[in-house]
Amino acid sequence: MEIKKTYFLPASLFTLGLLILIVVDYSIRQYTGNLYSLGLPELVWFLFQILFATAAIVLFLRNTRFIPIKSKLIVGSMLIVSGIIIYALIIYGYVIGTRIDGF
Amino acid sequence: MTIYVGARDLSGLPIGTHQFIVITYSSRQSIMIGRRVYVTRLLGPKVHGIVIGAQNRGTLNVEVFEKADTLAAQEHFGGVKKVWHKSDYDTEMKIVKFNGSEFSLHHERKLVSLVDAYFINQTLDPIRYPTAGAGFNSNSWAQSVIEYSGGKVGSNMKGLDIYHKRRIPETYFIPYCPSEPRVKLNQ
Repeated sequence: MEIKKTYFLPASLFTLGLLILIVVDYSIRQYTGNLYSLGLPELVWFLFQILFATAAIVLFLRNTRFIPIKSKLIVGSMLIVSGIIIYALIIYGYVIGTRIDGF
Repeated sequence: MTIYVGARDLSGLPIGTHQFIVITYSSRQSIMIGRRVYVTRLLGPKVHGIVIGAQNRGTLNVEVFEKADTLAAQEHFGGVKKVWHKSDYDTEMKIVKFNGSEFSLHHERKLVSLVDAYFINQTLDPIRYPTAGAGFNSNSWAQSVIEYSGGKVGSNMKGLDIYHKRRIPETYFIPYCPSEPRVKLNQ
């Protein structure tokens, strides 16, 4: 089993997608001159996050077609946990770290 | 005049709630806070109000009519309409009661004076915004102001409003230097 293709590639795709999304969002906020509002519309913001997650899942399923189900489940679980951590670090880190909003 | 604690979604985050305070009036009013006079804004049909909340600006800074808080209040009182393709805040509002009453001029003055003092103290003795919001945050701030002004309101709003039970020490809401240095929060 190639861990690079089955784990790192989908995880990287998801990470890269989220990073591009925050760069676009931050650029829009800078352009409009108001960091605390007027970023990407909520619908677009969350739709793209879902799209990147879906793309990562599709890539994972394609790359694990010929591996045993047990290995598939292990790598899949690792990928889900990593996805949650990556999401929290990037999206929460971005919103709270750049002071766009906060609890 | 009615005082509310509001809660709204965090911009761009699927989980998380931010609390703030809204004082509503039936007509336009001018209120002095932090050496500035604020004129109430129209939050909905026949609802004028002032929106006050603590924000993440590196430090826990109080702002009047912060954009997201104001939009959230307008969303609740009908000043702006929710449209499916535009961002909304799923605002929740709870009325604050003072000795069982919804109206108390004395307590409103007290609340404004607490905010006023915090305004001064946030420049002289700012509270650092906690890492990831986990500490004394906007939820703690809103609930502290309500408690010290003598109000009663449920502090647990919809969603994940972390640290809503924490209280910022009252010394941050007094208009003079305390005899002992203030306890440094979120360090």
